[in-house]
Amino acid sequence: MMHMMTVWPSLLMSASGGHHEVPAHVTYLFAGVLVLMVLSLALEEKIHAKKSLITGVFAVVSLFLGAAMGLLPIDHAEGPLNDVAWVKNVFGETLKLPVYIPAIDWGVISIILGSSLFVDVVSKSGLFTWIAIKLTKASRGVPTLLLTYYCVMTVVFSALLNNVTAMLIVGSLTAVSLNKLQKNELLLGFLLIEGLLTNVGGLLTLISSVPNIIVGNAAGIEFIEFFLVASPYVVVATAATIYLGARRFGVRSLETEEEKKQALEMVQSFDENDGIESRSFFWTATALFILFILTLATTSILPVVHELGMGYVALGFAFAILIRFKAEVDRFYQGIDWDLLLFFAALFVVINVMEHAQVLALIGSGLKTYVLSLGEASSSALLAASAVASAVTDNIPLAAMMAKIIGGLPEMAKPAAERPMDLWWAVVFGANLGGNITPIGSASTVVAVTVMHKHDLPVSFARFVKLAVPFAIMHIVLAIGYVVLFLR
Amino acid sequence: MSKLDQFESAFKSASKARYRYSTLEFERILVVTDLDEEAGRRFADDVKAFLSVLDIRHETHWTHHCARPEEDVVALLEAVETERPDLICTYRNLHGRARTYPFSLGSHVDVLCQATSTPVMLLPFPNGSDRLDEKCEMTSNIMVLTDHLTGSDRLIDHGVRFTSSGGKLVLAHLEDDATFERYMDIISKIPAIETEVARKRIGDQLLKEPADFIATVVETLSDQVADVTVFKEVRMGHQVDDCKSLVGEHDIRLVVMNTKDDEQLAMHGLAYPLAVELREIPLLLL
Repeated sequence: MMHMMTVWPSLLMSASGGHHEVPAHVTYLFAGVLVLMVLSLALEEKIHAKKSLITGVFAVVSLFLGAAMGLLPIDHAEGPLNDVAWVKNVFGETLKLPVYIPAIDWGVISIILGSSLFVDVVSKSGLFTWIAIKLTKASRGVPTLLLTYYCVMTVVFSALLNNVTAMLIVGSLTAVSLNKLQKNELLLGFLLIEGLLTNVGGLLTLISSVPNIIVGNAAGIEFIEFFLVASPYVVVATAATIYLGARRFGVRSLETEEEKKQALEMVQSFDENDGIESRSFFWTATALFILFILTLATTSILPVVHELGMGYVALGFAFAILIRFKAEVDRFYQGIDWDLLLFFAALFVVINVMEHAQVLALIGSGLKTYVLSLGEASSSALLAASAVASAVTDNIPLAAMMAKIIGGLPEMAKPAAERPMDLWWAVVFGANLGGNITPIGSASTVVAVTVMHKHDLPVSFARFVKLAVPFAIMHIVLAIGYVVLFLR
Repeated sequence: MSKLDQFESAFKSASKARYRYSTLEFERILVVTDLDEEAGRRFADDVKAFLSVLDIRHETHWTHHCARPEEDVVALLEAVETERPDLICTYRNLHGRARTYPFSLGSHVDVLCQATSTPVMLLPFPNGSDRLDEKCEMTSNIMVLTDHLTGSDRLIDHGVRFTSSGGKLVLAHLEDDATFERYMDIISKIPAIETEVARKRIGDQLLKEPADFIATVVETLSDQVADVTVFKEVRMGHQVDDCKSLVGEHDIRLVVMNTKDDEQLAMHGLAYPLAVELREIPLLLL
């Protein structure tokens, strides 16, 4: 404790070398606000409040305090363009924007809005349920094959859609198919393994999870580069999880011919075409979905599109597919996860205020002192610390904060080839995999637990941790090894 | 978590019941009458001719139980217990004094249908010459009728078995529109549920499931029973009226229905009114 007391003032002094001088007590005050917000997000379930409301309240309070203390770049007089508060429109007119508008990373918001809308409309075509049922039938009802196919599907869906949608699709199918196969005793194991793999699959591409989008954007990592770096780890971690999961939960193959015949008959009674209302829309959605992935993968090299970014691509595809439902698009707008979008918007505002209050510089200095000073072990320590932090609270504020902090490190000002990329990857791996330690660690594990409860599987917080920790440790150890051996 | 429910519903809808065909054999058939010995024998011969499809190889053991006027229902059940038939053939108002009033089946038939697990073939009351009605000449057009066709494999197996070669098997599923409207009326008073969406979706799904099941019946029978043509009749309407009109439309010679209900001692809800109303054609009650 004494050590801490002597170290913090020195950190503050070094932190104040950023944008402008901020008194230490003001930085501490805002740090307190940030800690309170993170705690509130961690206790989201207990206080029965949505994320958007929690961060919204903290954004309002932070903005008020920041403005009252003169921390925010508010320009009161019209004149030369200020760094954030003034913009010029296409007619050359100077427009004043409220200070909290440029604080929001609209690129990230548009990627999330566009891709979630696009995926929602594509799912109406029956494409994802078609794939899911085809795989179920291909398993012939053999539990080991079913587990393998569902796990691979979880990873791929998490990578291409998002981990919540992946868990919703695979979790609900698992409950229905195991019930049909009269293997309900395997449901807990299947759901747990799938829940854990959503976070492994969430590592596969730049758009697979929000931390990836935030950190990837900040680090300047392209879609293809992200995929090439992450995929070897995802393949190994998935295979290890399936193997360990099958052993841990007693998932075995079928023994007698009669059992095999019965299981085959049961899965064959699934009709993959049941959810397809229109063949033409099914094929249109399939083509657009493939094109969407290809466009995202090549955004960085496509002329014009490159300048507009992935948010433009996501929104463009969303509107393109909505043409099919031109008279009833409002139905899909109602389905947008406004809680998530407002949460991001408010979070960016809070982080922006914290930056002006030098709180991020303070944390960055602490990080430099305690983590990055570890030399060879710094990325391992950062990965483990990110994982532990993500396990108990939302990984998105963590990613947003770490992106700002790491981006502000002097090492990141070096030429691209000399930048320590392992730090970025440590945050990406840690933020995603930390979600596997507790049932509240990620939105997809919350979905997995919800499916368990819906099917009368009593899984308490402690029981989930007990079941998940061996897998989570394996994932984190593998990630540390991968980052240390291959990404430094 | 509404999306979880959406996906689970999609997968439940895709998980379909499939018809599994089983062959049935009727080795022992008991004909019960309350006529005199000679008339009863003639009637039994008529029944034998009507059900010739069951006895193509002439290996079926036919028994005629001619009940005495004073015989009570206990004696009738004892006769059934002794004979242990695979099928009992009789007619409405057996031993009944109210046979001219078309409001019931009579106490003997009521008990016979519910107290034994043996299928009961309920024939029209013998005509003035104590013979089986001349319309009952062969089981060419059969209708399997239920308000829950999905999974009713046994019912369909019986329909298939009684359909003569080259005959027509009508699989009818009737949803009671009065019950549906009652639920829709309740739904229309719940602001959280959009009434028109609920009406369309529930109505469609109620009829889709039996239609899908019939598709599996057609597929299975085309592989295993070549000489039966299956017709689908899935609709919402008034169960008794629509059943009567279907009988007329398809020139039905035998209706197959379930009468047993695990929840109650009395005959299954749809079966009794139909058994009372459809007096002119034979019914097979399972």
